[in-house]
Amino acid sequence: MELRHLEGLWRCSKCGACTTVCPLYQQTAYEGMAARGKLALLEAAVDNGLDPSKTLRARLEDCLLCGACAANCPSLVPTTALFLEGRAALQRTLGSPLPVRGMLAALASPGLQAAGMPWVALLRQAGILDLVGAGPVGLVPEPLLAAVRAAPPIAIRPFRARPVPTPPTGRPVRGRVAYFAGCIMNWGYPDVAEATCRTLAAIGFQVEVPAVHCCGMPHRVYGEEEAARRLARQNLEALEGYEAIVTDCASCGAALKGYGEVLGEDQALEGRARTLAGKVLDVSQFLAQRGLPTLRESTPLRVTYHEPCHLVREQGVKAEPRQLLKAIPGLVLVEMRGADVCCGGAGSFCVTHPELAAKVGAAKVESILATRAEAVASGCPSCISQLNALLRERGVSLRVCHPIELLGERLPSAAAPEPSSA
Amino acid sequence: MMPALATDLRRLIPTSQVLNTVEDRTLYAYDGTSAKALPDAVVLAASPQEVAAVLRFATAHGVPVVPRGAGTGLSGGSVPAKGGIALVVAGMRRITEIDSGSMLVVTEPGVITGELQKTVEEAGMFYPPDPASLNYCTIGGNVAENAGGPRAVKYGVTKDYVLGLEVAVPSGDLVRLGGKQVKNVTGYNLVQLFVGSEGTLGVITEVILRLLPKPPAKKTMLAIFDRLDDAAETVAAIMAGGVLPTTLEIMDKTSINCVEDYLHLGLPRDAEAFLLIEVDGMPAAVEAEAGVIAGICQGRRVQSFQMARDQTEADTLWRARRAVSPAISQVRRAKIGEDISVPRSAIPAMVREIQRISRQHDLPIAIFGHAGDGNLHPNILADRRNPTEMARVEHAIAAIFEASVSLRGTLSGEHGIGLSKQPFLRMALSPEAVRLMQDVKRAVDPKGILNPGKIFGSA
Repeated sequence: MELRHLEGLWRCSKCGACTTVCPLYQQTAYEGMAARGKLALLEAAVDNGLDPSKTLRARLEDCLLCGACAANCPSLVPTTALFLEGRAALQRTLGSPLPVRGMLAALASPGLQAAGMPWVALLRQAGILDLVGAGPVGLVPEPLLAAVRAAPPIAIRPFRARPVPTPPTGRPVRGRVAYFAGCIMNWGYPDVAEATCRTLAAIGFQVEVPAVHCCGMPHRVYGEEEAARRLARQNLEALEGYEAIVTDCASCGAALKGYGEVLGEDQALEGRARTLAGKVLDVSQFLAQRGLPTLRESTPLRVTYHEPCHLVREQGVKAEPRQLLKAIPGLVLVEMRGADVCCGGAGSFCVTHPELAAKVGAAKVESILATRAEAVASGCPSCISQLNALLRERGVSLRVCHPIELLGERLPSAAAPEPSSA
Repeated sequence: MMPALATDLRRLIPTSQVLNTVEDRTLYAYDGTSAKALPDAVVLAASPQEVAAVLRFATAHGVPVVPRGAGTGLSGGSVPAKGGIALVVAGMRRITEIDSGSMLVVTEPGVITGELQKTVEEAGMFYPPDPASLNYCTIGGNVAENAGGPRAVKYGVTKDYVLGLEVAVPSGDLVRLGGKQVKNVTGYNLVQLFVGSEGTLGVITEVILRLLPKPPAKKTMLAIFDRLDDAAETVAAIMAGGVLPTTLEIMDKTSINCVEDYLHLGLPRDAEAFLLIEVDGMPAAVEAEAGVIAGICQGRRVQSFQMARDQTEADTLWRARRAVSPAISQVRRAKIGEDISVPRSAIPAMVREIQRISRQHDLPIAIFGHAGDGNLHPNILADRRNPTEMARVEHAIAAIFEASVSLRGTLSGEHGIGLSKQPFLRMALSPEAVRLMQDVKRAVDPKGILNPGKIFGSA
């Protein structure tokens, strides 16, 4: 196996600081979960010709990619980058399993999504997908069950089909920004996307929703580097020329900000990608920089904030979402213990590893419930889906939402707040 | 032998707890040093009975067993140097009893030391030993290595807190030693034989630890000295002045400069020593002791002296010391951390010897450690993948040990001998002492199955 971040790999001293900060190691006390163990396997693959086996891939995929190990490494080993490289090397040798190939192809193709998603939405609304969960025990494969359990709601009409909100008339337009409508926001959480765009418009920005492709995060995660590069190039073309690119999906934001790394093989592209990355902002960051809209009074609400891994560690955005929440009249922010610990959702992890994801999630649910909050806010669709599933299974009725929804509902122009889609 | 070994073990231990793929063997081949050696099989033990069963089996079949907690040791103690079974107790991680009446805690060996500390502190009590790895090492490993930490100046090391143990011995017996009594002279003090035995005599399956009341107050101070000798004199004067600090940490010039390169805190690059001093106890006593220390430092050519007013300021003072490890890891690909321990008065001489060795072998060596108890950590910064440089490292390590022993010091203060220091054991111990230790080893482990190759080398 050949890796680019070898220098980083050699820096690992196996001290073990990554073990107890890893949510999966905490659950299992199994060395294969910890970054140190994965790095030891990569080292063996590089040095001693450890075979690029399915077992090796399974060990690398036993990972939330939450970045807690990298954040706590005293030797500053770029663990996440190494794991992604290792996954890519294995993907090149072993290929991807059929369901993964299918999922990645669907995500990469807006046409496939447009053709397929409304049918999924219809099946879901008709309760047919729930029948899968009710099927005879043992007959339905566990990952399929987990997928149904964890999936976000799906809209028949995606966000893109809605009209884009415009800034109030009679005042000068402050600038022109792009809203990056990621796949899951577009199909799963169109109301969140709309809240984001309405807020941007409310503070005087002309919002455009360029025709973008999937951010490529799922492709990177599954080692499909070529597809990730292609998507990055396409999105780069679509997004250059705006003064800012605003996202409300932690993973899309992290992916866009990482295009320099993805396109690193071509110097010219890399430079453009790094310039673009500098303009990508999570909606909470954008509002912290440009100011919040005036909000109307509303019923008091006790809210706790769960930090998405891709926002707090991948993007270093920690204060801004809290500032946003605290600025909402009537809202009380209560901190939970371990707000920055992964919820176990982690994209498709909760589908491929349902038992582990549930264990990691159970700890998160305890932290949430201990705050006695009425709602939990998190700026990531994967976290929102996972938290919804966890709370539902725990039999707790607690609103899970994106921080921008809470703000959007209190815009003067907003209709009466609707309960979030569950 | 290898596939058969796993098959045999699966007759004793639930199948899912016995691992033998090459990947799993790779995962249990290393510890916190650079050493690695593949075990033939891995057992993830879930109970003392399982541990004992593995030992009984191993003695019957002459298979090496290497006990392992979190595998964070710094002397190769849990590296399966001769193959065999990696016996992992990291999964046995329940605190079984907290007794605030008797001020003790009963725990399984796999509990993380920092977790144990947090738990007993919530009950108003205090477990002082604080190895640098406390957030990820296990209490069982601490007992097996007799781990120390910065607070050793005042509070001693792990051995000072172990009241009782349950150990699985090579015969396959589970033996209870000591107990919940503070005073106990019934029979030999075998508890202390197992403390620091580095997994060569038995596997610790339960620990009973003595606790202290949690000190309510703490004061942190930082004194910077242009000259090392002034720092050393200050350390001696503090002790002579009737104050026993909790912590008395030292950083040398190389460490200071590495941290400055890394964090740009504006540290004085010419300073030869930083002393980080802490006192703890009742608030009035802490105030008085801090006053004495401030007076002593200021009367002794201190370049600067700061006392933290609150926890935030204390954290600022600790910042440089805490950053030493990541800072020096930026210099070269690896750091090889040593652990010599000398009489406190020999610290300046030892630091100068290490600086000479650093120049002689052309290797940067950052020195930091526990000035209050004479335990220094010279960290040799080198490229682990460069064989000629690593050969120089070997010579430098030998020279450091020689210097330590000639100053009446020893090879290891808190990391253990394990694999990495066993070639030098006879430098520090008399032939009679080694023989007596080996007699004990043979009596407890006649087949030599437990952690072979450690401490004494190949027997």
